[in-house]
Amino acid sequence: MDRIAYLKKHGWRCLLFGAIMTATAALASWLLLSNLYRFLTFDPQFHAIFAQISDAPMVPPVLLLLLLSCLYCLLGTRLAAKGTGGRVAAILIGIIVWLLLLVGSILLTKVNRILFGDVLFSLLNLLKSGVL
Amino acid sequence: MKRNCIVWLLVVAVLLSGCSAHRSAKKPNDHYTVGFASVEIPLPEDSDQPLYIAGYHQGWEATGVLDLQRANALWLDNSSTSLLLITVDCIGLDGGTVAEIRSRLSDFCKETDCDSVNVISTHTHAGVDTLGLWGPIAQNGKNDAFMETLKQAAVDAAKAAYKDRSAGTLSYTATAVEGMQEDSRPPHVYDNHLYQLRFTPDDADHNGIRVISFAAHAEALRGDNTLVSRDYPGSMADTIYERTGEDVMYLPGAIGGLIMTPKLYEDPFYPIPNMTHTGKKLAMEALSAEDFRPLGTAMAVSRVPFTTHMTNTAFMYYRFLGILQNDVRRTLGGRYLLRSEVTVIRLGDVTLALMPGEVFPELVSGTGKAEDPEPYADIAARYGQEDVIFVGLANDELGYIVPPSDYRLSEDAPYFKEAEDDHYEETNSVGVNIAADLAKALEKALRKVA
Repeated sequence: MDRIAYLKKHGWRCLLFGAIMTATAALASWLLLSNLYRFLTFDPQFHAIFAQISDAPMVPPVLLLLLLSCLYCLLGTRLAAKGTGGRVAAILIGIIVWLLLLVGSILLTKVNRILFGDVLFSLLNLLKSGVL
Repeated sequence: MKRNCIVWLLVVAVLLSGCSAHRSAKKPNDHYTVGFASVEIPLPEDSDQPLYIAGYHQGWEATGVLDLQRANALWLDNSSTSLLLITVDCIGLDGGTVAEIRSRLSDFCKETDCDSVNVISTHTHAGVDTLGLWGPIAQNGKNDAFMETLKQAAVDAAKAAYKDRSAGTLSYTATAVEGMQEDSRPPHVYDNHLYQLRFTPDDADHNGIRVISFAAHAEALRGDNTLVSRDYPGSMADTIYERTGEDVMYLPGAIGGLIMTPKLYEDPFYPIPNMTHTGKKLAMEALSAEDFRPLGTAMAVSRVPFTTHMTNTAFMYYRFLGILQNDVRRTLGGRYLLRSEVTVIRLGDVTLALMPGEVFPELVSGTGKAEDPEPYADIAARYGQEDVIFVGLANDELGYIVPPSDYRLSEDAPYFKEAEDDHYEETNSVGVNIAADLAKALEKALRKVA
């Protein structure tokens, strides 16, 4: 079955898969970031965390996720059209891409104009030096 | 066609002459108009957040009040240029807080044609935390209710100072004071002058005013104190007011390095008498000063923003947590640039240089080292300004401004541990470039008022 025909038959699955990926990546980014923030601030009050990071610009990373998810859908359908092996490859690629996007979106998130990635790497250096 | 060109040229000429006429309409007076006001900053009564004492220890809460912190304001104009100096008894105010005070005064400034609003901290180490750095580690030490009261007090003081204004003369003197400073970090350099700008009103119904600048940390109460106080600047102001009825505004000088007043009591040490006695001694020095010379009424103000590379990772964390409110931007190359400002005020032939941190005095007088910028006093002298009062903690608080030649960081944990041989100040500084960046901005500002 060629790609166009596959799309016509299974296109809704691809879109659904892409949408689920995007939504879960955004939610996971948010939850992971807030949990890490709680670790950094030692703040037991969870609700305060969302108030503190409410200015974190999550929209650009989510838009990036949407765009890349659409591209993945196109790649995924091409692989999926090749049969079972192709579908497995598509899912594995999807998971790897999803994880990269998740990590990338977290590292590129700014909180109060400071990049979260810079803070994380700095903390890792402090752990290595034994200060923390 | 030719006639139309002539008509348009005439219209443009009339418009331009109208503009210049408007600019030249406000000529300076032959006198100054000055007003002063002082507003208390009470502690909040029903706040859930603790009140931490700023300056020495993390998480030390205030246990009482010796004397309440205050916001003092001075309105100064010569009818052509006008400005506000607002001092707040506190450890320091970051650029974000200063911006908020200015924002609250923006309508007032439009109504009164105020050209410049400047907010200076007295750096008392017995005040409630206003930077957020003295709560438990990585937690904001500021009390929101107190900060709101503080900002409103600054605004109220400014407006009350404007209403209080009266005509009079301004005079200046600088007096060398012996035995009232010590420097904890070599080289042992400090400016031992007590600078005074004295306003004498023409109208006897108004109080005289003294603006006093002295280069010593306001920590006569020392590190075990947990009582809220203005420290020695408050005691000095109260003594002068009791004896003469004059209002006093204190401006900290170049206090980096670390310049403080000596202990007047030892073994045992009595913090409250030490603070009171220190303030009284400095008050008597101020009152016994002679040779005040009147200042001309030419005024000029120049505010120059600048950026500097912020390398202090501890500051980065506190900005990330939203505790510090400084203006920080990240470049694409991964550097953090912090934006701050220098303001220079010229009053006759005396200049006030308002700097956003605790400047090492050797940066003002010179270190003789090639890595360091030109001495700030020499920069001013090149622009014909010999009598310069260098004021710290003005319009921002960037921490210590350390000479690059003596800037050392811990190799394994820079900014979290001190380098060997007494380099504490680097852990509370923005970075090594601040001294040079400040020098460039200062020169631009001095050039504009020359």
